Amino acid sequence: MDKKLATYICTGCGIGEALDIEQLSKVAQKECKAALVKTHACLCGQDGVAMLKADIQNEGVNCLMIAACSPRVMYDVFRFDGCLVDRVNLREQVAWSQKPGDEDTQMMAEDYLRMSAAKIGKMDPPEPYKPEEEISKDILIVGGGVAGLTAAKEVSRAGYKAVLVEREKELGGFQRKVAKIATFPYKGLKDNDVEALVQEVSKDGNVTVYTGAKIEKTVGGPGVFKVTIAQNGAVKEHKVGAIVMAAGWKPYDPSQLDPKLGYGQSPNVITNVQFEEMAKNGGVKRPSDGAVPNNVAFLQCAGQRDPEKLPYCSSVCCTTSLKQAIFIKETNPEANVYIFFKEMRTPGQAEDLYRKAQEEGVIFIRCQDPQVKASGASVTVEALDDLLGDTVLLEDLDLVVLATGMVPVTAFGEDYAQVRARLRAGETEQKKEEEELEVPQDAILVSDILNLEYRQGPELPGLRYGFPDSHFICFPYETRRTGIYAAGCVRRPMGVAAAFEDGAGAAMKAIQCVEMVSQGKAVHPRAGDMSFPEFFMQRCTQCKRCTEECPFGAINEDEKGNPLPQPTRCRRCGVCMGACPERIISFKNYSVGMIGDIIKSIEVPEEDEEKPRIVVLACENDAYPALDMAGLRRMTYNAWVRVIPMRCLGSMNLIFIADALSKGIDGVLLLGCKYGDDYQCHFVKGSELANIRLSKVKETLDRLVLESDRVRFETVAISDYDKLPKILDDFAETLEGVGPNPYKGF
Amino acid sequence: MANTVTQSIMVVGGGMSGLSAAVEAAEAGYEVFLVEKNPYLGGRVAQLHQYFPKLCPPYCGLEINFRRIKDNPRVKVFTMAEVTAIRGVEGDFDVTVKISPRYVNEKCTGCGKCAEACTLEIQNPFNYNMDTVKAAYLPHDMAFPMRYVLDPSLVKSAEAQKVKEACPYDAIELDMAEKTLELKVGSIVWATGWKPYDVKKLENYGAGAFANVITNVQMERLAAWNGPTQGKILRPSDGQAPKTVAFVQCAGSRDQNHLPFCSGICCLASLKQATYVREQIPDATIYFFYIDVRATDRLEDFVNRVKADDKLVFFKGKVAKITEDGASKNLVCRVENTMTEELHEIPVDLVVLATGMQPNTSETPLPTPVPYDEYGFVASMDAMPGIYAAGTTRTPCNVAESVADGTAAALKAIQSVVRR
Amino acid sequence: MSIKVDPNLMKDLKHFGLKDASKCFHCGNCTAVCPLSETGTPFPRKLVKYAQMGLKDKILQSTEPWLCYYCGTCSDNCPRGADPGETMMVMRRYLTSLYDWTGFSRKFYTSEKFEIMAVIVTGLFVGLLMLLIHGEFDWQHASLEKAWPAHGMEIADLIMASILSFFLLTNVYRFMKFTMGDLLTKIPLRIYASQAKELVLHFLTQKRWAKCEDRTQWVIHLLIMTGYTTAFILVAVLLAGGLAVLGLTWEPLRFQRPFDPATGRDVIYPIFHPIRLLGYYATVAILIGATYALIGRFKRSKAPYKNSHGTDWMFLVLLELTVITGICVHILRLMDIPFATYAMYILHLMIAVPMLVLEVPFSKWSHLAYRPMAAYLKGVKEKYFAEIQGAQAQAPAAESAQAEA
Repeated sequence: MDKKLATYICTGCGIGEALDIEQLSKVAQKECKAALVKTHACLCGQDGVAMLKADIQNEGVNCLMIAACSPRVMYDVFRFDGCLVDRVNLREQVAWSQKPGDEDTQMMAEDYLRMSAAKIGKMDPPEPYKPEEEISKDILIVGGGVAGLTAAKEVSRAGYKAVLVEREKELGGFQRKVAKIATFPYKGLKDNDVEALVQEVSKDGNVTVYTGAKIEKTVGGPGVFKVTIAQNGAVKEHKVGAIVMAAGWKPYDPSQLDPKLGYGQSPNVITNVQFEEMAKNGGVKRPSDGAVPNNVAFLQCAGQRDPEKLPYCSSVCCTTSLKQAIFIKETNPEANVYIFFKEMRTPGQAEDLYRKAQEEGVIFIRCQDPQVKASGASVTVEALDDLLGDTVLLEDLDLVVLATGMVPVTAFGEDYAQVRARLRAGETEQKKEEEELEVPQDAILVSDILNLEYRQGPELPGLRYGFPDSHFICFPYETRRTGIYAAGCVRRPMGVAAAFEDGAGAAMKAIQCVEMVSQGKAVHPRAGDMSFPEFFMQRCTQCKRCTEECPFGAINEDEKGNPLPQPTRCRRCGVCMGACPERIISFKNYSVGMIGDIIKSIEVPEEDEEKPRIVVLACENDAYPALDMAGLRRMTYNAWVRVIPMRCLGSMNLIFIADALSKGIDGVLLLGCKYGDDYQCHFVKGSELANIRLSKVKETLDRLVLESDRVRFETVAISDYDKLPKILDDFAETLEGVGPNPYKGF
Repeated sequence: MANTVTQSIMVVGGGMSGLSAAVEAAEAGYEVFLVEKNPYLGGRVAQLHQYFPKLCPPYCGLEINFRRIKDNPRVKVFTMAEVTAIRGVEGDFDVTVKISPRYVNEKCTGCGKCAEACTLEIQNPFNYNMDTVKAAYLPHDMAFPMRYVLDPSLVKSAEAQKVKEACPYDAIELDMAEKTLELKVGSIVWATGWKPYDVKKLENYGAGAFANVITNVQMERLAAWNGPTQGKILRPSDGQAPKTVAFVQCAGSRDQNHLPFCSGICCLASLKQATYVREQIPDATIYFFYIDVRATDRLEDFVNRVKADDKLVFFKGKVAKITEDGASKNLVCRVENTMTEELHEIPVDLVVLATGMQPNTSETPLPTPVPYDEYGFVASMDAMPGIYAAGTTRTPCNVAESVADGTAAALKAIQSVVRR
Repeated sequence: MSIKVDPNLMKDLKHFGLKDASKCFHCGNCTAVCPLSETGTPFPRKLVKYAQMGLKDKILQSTEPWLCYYCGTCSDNCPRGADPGETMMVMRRYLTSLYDWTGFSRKFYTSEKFEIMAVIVTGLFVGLLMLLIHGEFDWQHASLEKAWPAHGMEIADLIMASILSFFLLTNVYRFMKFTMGDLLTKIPLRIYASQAKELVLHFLTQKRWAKCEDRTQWVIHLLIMTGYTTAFILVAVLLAGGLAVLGLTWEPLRFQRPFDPATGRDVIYPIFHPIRLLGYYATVAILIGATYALIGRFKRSKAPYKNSHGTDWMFLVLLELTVITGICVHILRLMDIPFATYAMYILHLMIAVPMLVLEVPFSKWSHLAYRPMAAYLKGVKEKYFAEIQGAQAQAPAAESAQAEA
C-alpha cells in the first residue's frame, strides 16, 4: 500500500508542559516525513478523534503516528479500520517519567517519533492466513472418559461436530469401573450415572465415536488437522479443527510400591482401584475366601507424596477412601473401618464427606508411615500414631486398601530425546554439532496417544511429572501445542466433579480455536493477531534453529532440513524470527528489518555531548506495562533509554545488538520475563532463549572489540515497576564506567 | 434454543471466573456484557501480591486478559454495576442492571489532575482499608478501565467544585446519577465470587479488635509494593517489622460455628505468605498452625519447598484463643500441640488469620430463584436453564480452578444462545 | 510394645451416653480453650482420642475426667460438633462402672430397665420394712417419734451408712490403684498427709470449678452439694447420729426431738433454732439446685444439659422427690395429720434410701468421693515429683560442696 503518514501530537496529560511541541512537530515533518503534522490538546477527546477521522476521510491519511499516551490505553478510541496506527508513548514513558522541559526529555520524545516513523515505514497491514484446504470446525476428542464424554456432549450441544476416540472397547473410562461416586453436595454416596452420559454421547448424531481405536497419526495444525484412526484393522481419516486431549490416567503400578505396604504379600491387600472393581462387580469380599470383610483398613498416600514414587498428591484419594469406607459401613454397619492418613485432604464441600465418614464411625489414624505385615490371609497394620506418640497395632484385618495415585497417560513411554539421539546416530559429526544446542528441549515421552507428525516430537511436552500443561495457573487448558487442549486427569489429578467441568472448559477452548483459525487469527496469548511469520526460503541454510526453538512446535522440516511452517500452529511470538541467523523470517508488521530500522533511527549524539544511548528491548507483555506503571506513578528514570517493545523477548535477534552497538549505541538492555521451572514467559521459553542467545553475543562483541558489559539481560515481572528505575539507572552507571561506544559517529 | 431471540451473553462478576467466561465466549464470536460491581475488573486476584505456587504476580495474567478484552470489541464492560432483576427464560432474558455513579465519564484520560486537586481522603477499599486514598482516585495501578473514581463523600463536600474544575477534559460530572439499564441476553453466567469471612464473628481471635491480628487478604496487600506499606510487612500497631508471625489456619473454615466447609486455598495461601515474611525478615520465627495441610496435586511441591525453612514451625493444632497485651499490643496464641498433648501459650508479634471464603451469594443471592447448598453456594453450575454459576460462587476454588470453571460456564452460556 | 486398637469400646460407650465423639478430628481446640486443662493433665481431646481408639487401659489410668467440671466451653467451641464435654461426662460414668468391683454399677448405667427396677425394689423393701418394724401409731397426733423411735432409726442409719461406706471406700481404693499405679505406695505418707487439707477443701468448695467460664454451674452444684451435706449431717449425725448409741447424746442438738407427753406431740424446734434453719437451708438449696438442673436438662439449655443419660434423670428426680416428700412430711406433721404424716414419711424414705443406697457407691453420687480425690492425688503427685526433682537438683550441689571441702 502506498502510505500517507500523518503525525498527531497530543499536548494533554502533561505532554505539552514537558516537551517542546513545536520542536517535535518539526522532527515529525522534516525527519519522519509526515505529510501531515497536527497537535491537539486532547487527542482522545471527541473533536480530537473527529479530526483524525476527517483526515483519514478527506486527506487520505492511512498511516497514523499518534504521539500521545501508551498503546495500552485509549485502544478503542484510536482504532481505525484500514489504517496503520502506531502509538508513540509520549505520556507514560516520557512526560510522566522524565524531567519536564529537560533537553534529554525532549531528545527522548524526538527519538520516539523517529523510531515510530521507521516502524511504520516497514509496517504492512497483515493479511489473515488462509490455508488452501478448507478449514474444519470439527473437534477431535481423545479419550472417552468423563472428561472426554462431557467434551463431546458439550461440543455437540454448541452445534459443532465431534470425533471421539477411545482405546477401550467401551466408553466411560475409569468411571465405568466405579460403583458409587462422591460428588456435590458430598452428603453421601451417589449412584454412578456415567452410563447415562455414555448413552447420550453414543446416540448423538453430531458425535462420531470410535471405541477400541487408537490414533495412528495426527498431521497438520489447527483447522487442518488430519487424524488417522485405526480401529480393528480398518483405518479412517478425519479432518478436524482442534483437539481435546482427555486421554486420562493410569493407576500407579502397585508392584512398584514399597514392600512394607504389603502389596502382593497377601490377596487381602488390594488397591483402591481393585476395591472399586470389586464393589462394582457383586460387592466387596475378602479376596482370600470371599467372606464379607468385617475389619477394613485404608492406607492413604500409598506411593504418593513420595519423592521416590509419585512426588505429588493425587487430590482425590482421600475423598475416594472416605467414599469406600462409607460404602463398607453402609453395606455392613457392624464392620470396623480404619483410615490411616497423613493429612486428610477434602477441600471445599468435600469436607462434609469426611464428617459423614466420622459420623458413620470410621476410625481415623494420623500417621506418616504405616507398615503392613501380611502373610497368607492374615494381615496386620502397625503405625506410629502421630497423636498418641505410640505405635498402634491392628490385627486380623480382612482387607487392606492401598490408596494409590493417578499417573497421567502422558507420563509413560520413552523419552523422545533418546529416540532422536538414536535417529541421529547415523548422521555426520558436523551435522550433529549443528543440532547440539543449549536450547532447552521439551520433555516429550513417546506415549503413543496423539502421534503428532511434528518435527519436535510425537506428543504433548510435559511440564512436570508428565502433565502436559503450559500455564497451569492462568491458562489451565493451554498446552504447548496449539489447538490441543488438555482436559481431565491427564492435565491435573481431579475428581469426577471437576472432570465434568473440565471437559466443558477444554471444549470451549477448542471451539474458540477453530473459530479464530477460520478467520486467520491467532489464538492465546496473542488472540486475534492476524499476522504470521513468512519465510524467505531462498536464503535458508537449513540450520534448523527455527524448528528447534519454536516453543509450540509450529514448524516442521522436509528431509533436506528446510522449515515447513504451519501458520495455524503458530502463536506469533516471533521466537523463530529471533532465532534465525539468516533473518529470513518476518511478519507483515514485525520484522528484523523493522526493529533494525527502529534502532538505526535513534539519534546518537557525538561522544563529547556525553549523552549515552541505551536501547531497551522490552517484553511487551510484562516489562513494557511495568514501564507504563512506573510512569503512572511518576517515577523518573534514566533519560538515555530508548524502549523498543518486543512481542516476546524470544523474538530478539542478535543482529539487533550488533546493529545497536555498531551504530554507537552505548548499551543494550534486555528486559524479559522470569524463566526456569516457574517461568512467567507467556511463550514458555522466549526469555530463556533470548538469554541463551546472549551467551553467543560475545562473538559479536569481540568482533566489534567491545566490552561485554554493554549488553545486559534482566528479568522483570510486570509488578516490578518499583524496581525498574534502579535497574535502568544501574545499567546507565555501568556504561559510564565502561565509557562511550567508540563506534559513535561512524 | 428455539426461542432464542438474542445471542448476547451476560457475565456477572469481573473476577477471575467472570473475566475468563467473558473473554472466552467473546473470542468464540459472541457478544458479551460483563457486569462488575467494583470500579475495575480483576476481582480478588487483582488484590493479590503473588500466586502460589509460582510466586508470580497476578497482574501478569490479568494484563493478557485485559488485552484480550481491549482487542475484542464484542465485550461490553460495565463497572460499578449490579444486576438487580432477571426476568424471562433461557434465550430471552431481560436483565436490569443498576449502575452507580462514578462521577467520572469516558473523557477521563487518567492524568490524575483531580486527585492532585483533592485533599479529602477516604479509607482505601483496594487495601482493605489499611490506608487512605484521595477521594478522587484510581482504584489501583493497573485498574481496568484506566479511569478515575470520585467517592460520593467528595461529591457532597465543598471541595467537589474545585476538583471538577481541576479536570482539563471535563470528565467529572458531579450530577451523575444512578442509572439503570435494561439488557436483553440469552444466557447469564453468575460469578460474583467470595468475601473473606467476617473476623468480627471470631470472638476467640479478638473479633477484629486487636491491631496486630490481620487477615490473609490484608497480608497480600501488606506484601505488595502498591499496598499500604510499599510492600513492607509491618505491624499495624507500631509499624515495626514482626519478629514472630503466626499463621492461624481455619479461621472460620472447617468450623460448624462458622463455615463448616474447607475453603481449599488457605493452607497454600498462608505458606505462600510465609515466604513473603521470610524474604523480608530472614530471622523471623514463623508459626503455621494447622489441622491438615491441604495441598492437592503438584502444590505438594510448594509445601515441601516451604518445609525446608527451619525457622518455620509447622504446628499441628487449632489456635483456640488469642489474647492481646494492652500495652505492647503483642499477642499470645493459646493452642494445644496435638502431637505432644502439650498446651502452649505462644507470644507473637503478628497474627495472620486464614479467614475462609464466604460465597457472596450467601448474602446477595441471584435476583431470581436458583437452588443453593446450605452454605449459600449455588448448588450446581447449571443453576437453571440459561443461568450458570462459575468459580467460587459454586465451590471454594483457587485461581486455576476459577479460570477452568469460567471457561466451562462460557460454553454452556453459548449453548443457550446458539441457533441450531 | 504397640497398643491394640479396640473398635468395640466406642460401641460400649454408647450405653454410657456417648454420641458425637467420633466426629472429633483432633484440632485441639477443646483442650486449649478449657480453663482447667494443663500440660500434664490435658483434656478433653486426649480422652476423646482414647475413646476413638478404644484404649480402655489408658482411660482407666486417667484422672482427667474427674478434673473436668463440665462447664461446656469445649463443646460450645468445638468446630466439629463432637461435644467433648459430653465425652468427659461419659468417661466419668464409664470409670465409675470400672472402679466398682461389684459390677452393679455397670448394670445400673448400661440398662435403664435395671436401674428403674433396682430403685423400685429397694424402695418397696424400705417401705415394707417400715410397715413391719414400727412403734405405736398415734392416730390423735402425728408423732413420728412414737411411730419410728429415733434410737431405732439411728441404728438403721448407721447400718446403712457403714454398708455404703464399705462399697464406696473399696471403690475409691480401686480408683486410687488404677490412677496411681505403684506410685500409690511409693509416695511417702507425709506427703499424703500434708495435702490432706486440699482434699477437704476440694470436697467442700470444688474451687477448681470457679475457674470455668460459666460459674452458674459451679453455684448450682455448690447449692445441691452443701444442701445435701447439711441434710446428711443433720440426719445421719445429729438425728442422734450414732452419738446417742454411744451414749454421748447432746439433747439440745437432736434433729428429731422425743415425744413430749405434755403436748402429746413430737417436740418441734422454734422457728429460729439453728437446727431448724439448717434444715430449711438444706431443703431450699437442694430444691433450687435440683430444679434448675432438671429444667436445664429438660430444655437442653446449655452444653452440659444437652445430652442426658438415664442416670442423670434418675438422680435428679429422686433428689427432687426426696426434698418434696421431706417438705410434705414437715408440713403434715406441723398440721398434725397423723395418717398422712406417716404415709408421707414412709414414701419419703422409700425415695431417699434408694437414692443413697444406689447412687452413692454405684452411680452419680460416687463422684463426691472421686472428684476431690482426683484433685487431691494430682496435688500429691505434683508435690512428690517436685521433691524428687529438688533432690536431684541438690545432689550435685552437695557433691560440689564436698569437693570444695
